[in-house]
Amino acid sequence: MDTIWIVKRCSLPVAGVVALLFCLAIPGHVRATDAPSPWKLAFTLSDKSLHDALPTALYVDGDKKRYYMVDSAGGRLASFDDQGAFQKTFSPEGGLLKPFDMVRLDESVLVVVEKGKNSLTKIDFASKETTRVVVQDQGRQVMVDRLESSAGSLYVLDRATGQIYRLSDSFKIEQRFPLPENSGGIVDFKIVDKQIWALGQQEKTLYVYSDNGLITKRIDISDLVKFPVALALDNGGLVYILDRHQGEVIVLDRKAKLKYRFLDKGHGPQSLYYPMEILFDPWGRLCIVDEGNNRVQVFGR
Amino acid sequence: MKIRFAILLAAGVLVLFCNSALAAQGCISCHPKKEFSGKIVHEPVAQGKCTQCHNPHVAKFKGLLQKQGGDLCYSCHGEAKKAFGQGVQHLPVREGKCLACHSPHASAQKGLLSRPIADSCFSCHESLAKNEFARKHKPFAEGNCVACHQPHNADNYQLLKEDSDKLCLGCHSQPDALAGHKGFPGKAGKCLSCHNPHGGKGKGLIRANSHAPFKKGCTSCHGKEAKGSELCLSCHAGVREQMLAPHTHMFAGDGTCVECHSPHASDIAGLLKAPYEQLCRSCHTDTFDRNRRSLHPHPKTEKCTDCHDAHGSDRLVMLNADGNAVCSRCHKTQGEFSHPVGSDIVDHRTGQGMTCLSCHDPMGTEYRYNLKLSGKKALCVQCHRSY
Repeated sequence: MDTIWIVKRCSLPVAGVVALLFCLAIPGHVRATDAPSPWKLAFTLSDKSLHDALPTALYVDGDKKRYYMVDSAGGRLASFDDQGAFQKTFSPEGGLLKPFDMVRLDESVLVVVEKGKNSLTKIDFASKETTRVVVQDQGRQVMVDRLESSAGSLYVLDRATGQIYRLSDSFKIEQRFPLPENSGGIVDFKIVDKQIWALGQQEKTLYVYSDNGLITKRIDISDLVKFPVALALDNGGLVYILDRHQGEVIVLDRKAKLKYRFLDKGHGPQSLYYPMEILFDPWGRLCIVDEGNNRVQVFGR
Repeated sequence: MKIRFAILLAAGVLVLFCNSALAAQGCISCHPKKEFSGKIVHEPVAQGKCTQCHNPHVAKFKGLLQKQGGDLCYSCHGEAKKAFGQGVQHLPVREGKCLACHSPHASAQKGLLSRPIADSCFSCHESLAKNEFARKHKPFAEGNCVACHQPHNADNYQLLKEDSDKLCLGCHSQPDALAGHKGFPGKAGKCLSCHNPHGGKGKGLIRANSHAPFKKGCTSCHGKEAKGSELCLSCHAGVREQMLAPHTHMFAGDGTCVECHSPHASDIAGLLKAPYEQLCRSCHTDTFDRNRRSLHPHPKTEKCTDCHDAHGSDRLVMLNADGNAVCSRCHKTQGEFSHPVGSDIVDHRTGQGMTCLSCHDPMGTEYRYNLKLSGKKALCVQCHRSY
């Protein structure tokens, strides 16, 4: 009865102000988390010939305008043009055993992490040679995992120790980025403005390393994610965390303030099923390697 | 004006007091008073404020409760909600099931516990209760679980009140502990790596299965050049091969293997540090929570490794065989007769071969038979669009 009385007697602007104040008074009712995602699916990297693939990584070559998808199950690399059209699959003579990640080192050389051989495998198109290097650290084999390149240097994650190494041209360790104290291990890292951003999965924390291996910042994201597996950073200062179990992307600023979340778990076009990797391509599009759906989804704004 | 206000206020207080007293009187005229009396009586009950928790006329929840579970308790014990939210939470606390241990009205036990503390603990921790140790640790034998564990939450694994070594050495002094370990290098520590804190077969409560190098002596491993997982893998070459996979449990610092295995002794096969569920849940909390909260959880399996590979796998979600082989080990009928499956039958959503896991999610869903979507239509039309 009282409610009807108020509605009847309030003018529209007053009612609007009351409604706004009401919304603000309820914690969590109007939040930044409700902000819509600006991302729209541009295209999907997949092809019938990639039947039974399990994509684990993507490398984007801005110069050649090519996407390279790493298929760990098929032991091959698949290329797509910059509009998502499938080009071809490739593996060197003898094949690749459980390839996991890759980068292009220069015009003619690709480096692939071959998990099955625990090697960094150098594929030289000019000389048509394939060389496998097992990286050594004080007599111990480095268990190679994620791979990045920046300013002509290779950076590799050692799964056994959780350390990231910068390698010389001959794949010798020239700089260590040590595992943070009490960390359960790093699962992904990206290099931005000479800083390494690393993701600690168990403790759900982001670590920022300076170029000389010191940790300059720790960002706790434990309230925001369930099972983080990869991260990406955009030019506007936002961090994108890929949650493998939830099948969603969590977007936060560099102070860990949640901006928005998008996508969900499943098999539809706006869904992810055990995704593996997230990164930006040179054209500002957001690429998500979706292992369970056997595809890479490329989102534009 | 002030006098008028004071009279109104006094009248209001009187009405409220009479109401609650009358309400209590009304309740007790039907509900036997003895159910609400005991050595310890919950404050609202003692004050006759039944309506603080119950609605006498109609309510959404069983027992005519105003709110459900922890929500009701925390409406008064707000400070407890904040405190219990820290660190490792006991499962009933996490799920707001305060009445799993506490009585809401009255009890003979301190803290309004519904029964002696050990009885409460063992009602869930059944395997521990059934364990007939030849020798028992004194606090365990006395049912004094809270001598070592926190009942609500703790900063330490296993809800331990303190770091395990600190806890052990709080009773067993460092000199006493060292006296029983001749030739032990440095200070005594990592006690639980060899001793079972509840009980065991023999003196010292040493765990049942010992690691072979541990039997030979400490220097079998300690003092060697290789460290951490490298040391373990120098003998366990087969495990190294398993770890050379896209999906692996090899990650962490120097202690990769000892995250799950004890290098010294264990009561569980494979020298595991804890039973599978407990061990796996310590990292995969979200998966266990999802399964527990699902409307249709998969029935409990004995071990996570019935389906998953604990070291490394080339398959999605670290399965130890393909999505059909894993399921048909138990679901034998469906293994022979089902929707067409296999690598030749393509799931158009993923381009991959159809398996049981194309439609089912065994970690629990909101639909019957662990289906990912409703089997009435929503799931089927994802592929069969013309229907």
